[in-house]
Amino acid sequence: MAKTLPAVDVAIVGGGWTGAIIGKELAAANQRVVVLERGEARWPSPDFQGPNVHDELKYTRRHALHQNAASETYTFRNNIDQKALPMRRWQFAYPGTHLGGAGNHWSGAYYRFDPTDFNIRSHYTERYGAKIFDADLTSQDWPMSYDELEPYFDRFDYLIGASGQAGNLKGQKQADGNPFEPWRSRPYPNPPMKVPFAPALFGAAAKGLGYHPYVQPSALATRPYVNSEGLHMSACVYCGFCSNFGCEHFAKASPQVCILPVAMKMENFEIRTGAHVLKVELTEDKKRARGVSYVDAAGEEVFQPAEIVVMCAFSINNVRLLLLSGIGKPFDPVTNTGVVGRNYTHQTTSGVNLFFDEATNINPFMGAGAVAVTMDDFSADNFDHGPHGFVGGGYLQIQVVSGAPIGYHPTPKGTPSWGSEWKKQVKRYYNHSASITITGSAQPTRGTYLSLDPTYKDAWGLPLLRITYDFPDNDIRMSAFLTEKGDEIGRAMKGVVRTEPGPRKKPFTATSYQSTHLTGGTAIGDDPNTSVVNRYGQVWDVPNVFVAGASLFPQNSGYNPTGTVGATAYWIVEKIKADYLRSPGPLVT
Amino acid sequence: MMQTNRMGMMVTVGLMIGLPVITLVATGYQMVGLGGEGLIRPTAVTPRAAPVAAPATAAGAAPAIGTAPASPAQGTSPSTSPTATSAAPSAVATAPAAPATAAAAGGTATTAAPAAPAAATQGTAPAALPAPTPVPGRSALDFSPSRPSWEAPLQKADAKMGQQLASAGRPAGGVQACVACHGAQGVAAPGGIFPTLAGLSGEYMAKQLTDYRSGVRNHPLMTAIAKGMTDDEIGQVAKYYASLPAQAVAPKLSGPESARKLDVLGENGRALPACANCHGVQGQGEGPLLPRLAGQPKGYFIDQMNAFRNGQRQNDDVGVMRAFSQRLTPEEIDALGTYYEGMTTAAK
Repeated sequence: MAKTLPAVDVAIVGGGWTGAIIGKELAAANQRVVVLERGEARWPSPDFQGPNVHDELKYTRRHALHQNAASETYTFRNNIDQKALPMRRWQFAYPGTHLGGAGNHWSGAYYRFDPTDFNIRSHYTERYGAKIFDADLTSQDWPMSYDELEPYFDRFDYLIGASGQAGNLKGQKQADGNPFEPWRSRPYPNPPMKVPFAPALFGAAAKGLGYHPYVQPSALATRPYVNSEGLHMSACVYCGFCSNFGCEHFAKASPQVCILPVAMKMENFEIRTGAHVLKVELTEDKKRARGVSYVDAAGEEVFQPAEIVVMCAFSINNVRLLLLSGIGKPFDPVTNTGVVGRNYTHQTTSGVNLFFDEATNINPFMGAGAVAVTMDDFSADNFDHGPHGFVGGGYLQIQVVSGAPIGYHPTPKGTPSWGSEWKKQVKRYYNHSASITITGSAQPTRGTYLSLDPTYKDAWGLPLLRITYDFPDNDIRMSAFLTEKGDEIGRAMKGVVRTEPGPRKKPFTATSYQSTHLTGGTAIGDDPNTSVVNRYGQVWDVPNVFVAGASLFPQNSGYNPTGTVGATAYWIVEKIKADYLRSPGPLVT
Repeated sequence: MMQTNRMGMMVTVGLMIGLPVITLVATGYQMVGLGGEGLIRPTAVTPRAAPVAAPATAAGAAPAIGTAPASPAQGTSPSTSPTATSAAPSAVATAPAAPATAAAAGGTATTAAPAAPAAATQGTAPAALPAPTPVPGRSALDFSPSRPSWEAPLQKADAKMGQQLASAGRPAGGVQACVACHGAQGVAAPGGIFPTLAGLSGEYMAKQLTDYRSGVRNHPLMTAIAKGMTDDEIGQVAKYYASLPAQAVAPKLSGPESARKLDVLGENGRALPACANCHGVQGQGEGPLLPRLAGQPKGYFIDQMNAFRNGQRQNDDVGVMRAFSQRLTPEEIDALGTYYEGMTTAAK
């Protein structure tokens, strides 16, 4: 029999970016807030201080900040005719856990979605005609526009101390920034990052070909900064230990650096770590959440009653919790009905491996998670899609993260994977190699969705989440086009002696890393038949449950998700504060 | 078991003992110091030195951190490019409407939640700190490599000529002999205010002399001396001192507890990273430009921290030391001075 705790106003599932933002804002609005974090507490000091934090084996190979795949994982299949099998270790993506979640171990690449990402169906239809969409694509417009979200993007910029140079201030193009940038109301709070050698070579070559390369915006502070919560950040030192690590310098924006120290000073804000949420408990008519059940750090089952439940778990774990709780109608690809789990997407990534002559020293260890020269000439709808016959796009860049000793051994194709020849090639190319990475949008289809697995269960006896996914032909055509452009730039780069373009091919495999940008499954929308939540993140069927994070995306943009995740979290919580708290009930009827 | 190479062994044993100790301390800190539910509460922030942004924002000088050209908001504010800056004021004036305004518009530091560290630290602020010279930021379209001006002269410098200059100076040019203050072997007299140069890298010293010359680092004696030196002389002297043997670091972790904590753990509540993250384990320095602290006379250390604090010294790249030093109390700076001074076998 579960122990029942005293009721709170707000129970938040997950202590990452969205949980921290929404929790802090609601606590500031005098709500009694409890954030339930399944992982452990992690703070820059003492947990991430050097030299111990620079441990590639622990953090990258053994996934110290990622969900424990031994107790909870996903099953995967390409289509409904296959039987899904569980992933035993993380390869395709790195779902976060512990305080700060993925917002702690992320790289800090920081973009806003393009305005056309929010009205993709209507925009492309208007410009190119409805035929531009393959029949299998279920891409759909967001219920709100970029313009409506801009103030919230701006607010997140100043929370995280974003670095970059404005390319478009309130519609005025800026000479020193990215000419394709969506308009922004204020400059970035901090200047762009310094650029390592390989990205500089990329920038020079891309410029020479007439493209518009620029320094990627990042969430790594480029100088000491006091953020919008009054908290200090320090300057990035380009140590290269960002992706999969916590930052020892208070330079990479994370919930524990940018927001939680303020929230935790509030009497009515509490974080419980080691609190693994099992489900949201509903009233008998299933129209209202009573609170959440979780297993605490001691293994005891606990019921936490709450007036409002906000789902802020890692994106697709939100979907699983809704399915486990019986909230919303599960999507059925056969009948094409239901909504929960619908429009799941990943990110269509590809790359071009570059090998340089021995006079060109790349120094791959000089980098940071988000230090890149990038270009948007083929992002979103910045180019004419007419001749190409696909929707979406992506950015091309060289980003130098780190030449980590275990993970980084670039060798040309055809090199044996062990032995003296392999060693010889690693020695030859370690310091003379780089990759152009291409991060592309992902369109959903009727066959790409999330559901509960009928066979496999987690450590608590609950069904695992099953991912059914393959690339739509649209995205394969896009990847071929973008990768060809990348190869063109690579061949124009100084010192390059060999390029190996690797466009994305079918079938999708869960055994190669393709970003942790897992999106969709609780799509945000205006129509309850094609969305799980309304434009304020409120579940259509259970109005005292809200959902935040990348599971809201009806399809994935070519840009990294965190900027839009942060902006939508502010958008949702401001509506809750302004209207819902005063009169709880459906915010859209 | 192995006693052949004493020096090497001392360092090795030091590391063998030191690193596990750091780990143990970190674990203990986590388990005991903040144990149980308290684990996730941030360290209390007591009133301390002024945060960097406080004076500027209090004076109403900075509409938005880092956006105005002369903005001292960060104490360090590299201005963004003229393009970005010219647009800043108007952008701020109409900053995002309603809900976002409280936190976003106006001086960001002081609009923080009441409990925020920045707001809590006004009490003991040193009298108005002067605004440091902004460090120019790079444009988002500038990928050109840049090399520091002191690099080439240093690379081709002859250490022998540096030695001559160090011992005799060049009185005609106003260049005094280095040895007078920095010791015959680059080890300054204990108890003084002059730094030990043996053990510092050539790059670091060449940069410092160049910075004295340009005025981003200031000292009544050193500024005049550096201004009398040519680029080649700077390279020579730097190369000479870099060739001198560093004092051995004592394999001990003694000294004030508050200083040891700041060195190896930093402090979460004030967003202070461990000093050792950049200055190396036991203050031994790291890379070409992050100076060794072990063995520096306490008087010198305190002077430098104060120079960072009050903006006399502004050559710390983007201002990281200026920011950290302003979040340390005078007592902590004193303790750190004692701690690092005591790290070498030579010092007492």
